[in-house]
Amino acid sequence: MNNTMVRSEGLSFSYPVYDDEGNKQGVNQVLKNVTLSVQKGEWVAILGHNGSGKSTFARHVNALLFPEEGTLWVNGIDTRSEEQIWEIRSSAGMIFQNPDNQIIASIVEEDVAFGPENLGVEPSEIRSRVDAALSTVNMRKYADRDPNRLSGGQKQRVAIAGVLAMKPACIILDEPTAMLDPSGRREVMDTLERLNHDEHITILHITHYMEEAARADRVIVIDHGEAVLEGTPKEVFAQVDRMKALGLDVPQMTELAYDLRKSGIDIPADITTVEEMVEALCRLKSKT
Amino acid sequence: MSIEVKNLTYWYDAGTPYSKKAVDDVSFTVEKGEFIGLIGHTGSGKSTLIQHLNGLIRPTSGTVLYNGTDIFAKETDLRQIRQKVGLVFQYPEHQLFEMTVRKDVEFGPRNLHLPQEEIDRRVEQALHVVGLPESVWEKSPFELSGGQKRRAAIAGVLAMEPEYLILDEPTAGLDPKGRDEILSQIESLRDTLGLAVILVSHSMEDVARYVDRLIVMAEGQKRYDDTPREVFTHVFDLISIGLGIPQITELNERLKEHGFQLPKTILTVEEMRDALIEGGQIHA
Repeated sequence: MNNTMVRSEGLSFSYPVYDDEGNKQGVNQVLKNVTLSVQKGEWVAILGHNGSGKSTFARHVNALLFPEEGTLWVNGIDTRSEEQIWEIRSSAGMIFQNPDNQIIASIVEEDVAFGPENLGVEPSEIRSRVDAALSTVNMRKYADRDPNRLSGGQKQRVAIAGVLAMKPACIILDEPTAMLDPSGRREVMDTLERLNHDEHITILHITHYMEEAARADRVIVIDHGEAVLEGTPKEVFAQVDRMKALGLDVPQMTELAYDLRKSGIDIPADITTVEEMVEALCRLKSKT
Repeated sequence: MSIEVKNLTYWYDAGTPYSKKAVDDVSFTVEKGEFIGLIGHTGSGKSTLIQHLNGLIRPTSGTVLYNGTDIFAKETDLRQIRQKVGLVFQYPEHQLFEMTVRKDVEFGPRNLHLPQEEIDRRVEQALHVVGLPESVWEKSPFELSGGQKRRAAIAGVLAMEPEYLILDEPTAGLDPKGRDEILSQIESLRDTLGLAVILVSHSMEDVARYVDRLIVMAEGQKRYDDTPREVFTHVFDLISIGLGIPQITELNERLKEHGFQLPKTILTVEEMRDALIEGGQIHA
């Protein structure tokens, strides 16, 4: 059994650039020779500044875009095999930034049913999938509500349920919390954790929030179309100077550890959570 | 010089079965030069509230005074108010439309029928203030990066030379560098031009770091109106209304439980470092 969910080899992609008269002027090379893989069941955070190519990569995984050079396999299928495109799209679901753009029905459960209906799933099976998906995102009691009257976090969870109802092996989320308030962010992050831990769904999570990335199994940093840094959140965030040079940031706790180390305090460089910081500081305090 | 919000109440769909009170008897005053953060959960009424400040929405009851003038009075020229109270919506880059960045920023002042030299002066100043290099001024706004587009859109509002600038989540979707750049530029606008700024934000870290005063909305009502340092002491209440506190502020709470001698609230990483080291809590 193959354990790889997503594998890209030498993936390159560019957008054509046109002048005012509509003549092709050149190309904007968005992805350059990206080689990486994501294991089944893994939670991978993808970081990179605006325009780094991370969203373009995500759109390849969902077969919305196709490699110009190189190959991308999703669940073992080459995304360029046209006859299997629906298989790819139902195994790799996508969630975008703005929940309002992803909701199409006027009742929550109908919105969630939209995907499986289009896959031609049996009505009784649709019913059970919709119920299960809404339970997973803790939105079952809103099944008969109007999605437009929900909060941002609730809408985003309905969008996730819509993807779940297609029984994907992998979910790609492109800044799913960028428009949400703190409680909406907490709801979505807790939902992702449940999907990953309990349902073993592979997660590719693009985010600009370093605290969110710290919860992933692995972080991949994309810069100018290339995968430049990867490792566990601890390995990546401990490289504070490198991350800042890439236009990114590190979690506040890692930044504090970095500042304390610069002042000569002997504290681990790879602290990412409040929990770990409390523990490390208590250890230091008891020494004095 | 001030904007005074007085007992402002707004009902959506008033008189229908769907009517909902979005803003509930809110009062506060904004003085020139203030940097105010406005936070609240989705649906707390923040966006409805700020649209009253330049007269885009008419209150159901209560009013807004601009330098003592009721902006909703019949004889008030709302166009003049809107010049002085600039509103930058969420994702303002979606409103860019001109062929070049310069033309887009020019659009507002041109409609004020100002002389060309005055238009040029305002446009160039606005573009400099938001930090867009001259090399992109003649480019199509659609060729710019996300952060640059947003800055071009903010420049369009600044070119109107407002005295009050209200920004609805100006950093949503920006990378950390773009976020820090925009926020520090906004801060310097306040410092150099004496503008009053109201920053609507979902980032507790950002408001903790930048603003002097924090207004918290919950269920249409004003819950707190104080310094961030004071507001962020209400940890449990903030969480219960769908908000939170910065991680560094949370760390402070936790360390105090473990017997550390620390200040009441900590807002930034630098403050925490100093409190730990200079406060003699840990030693090199």
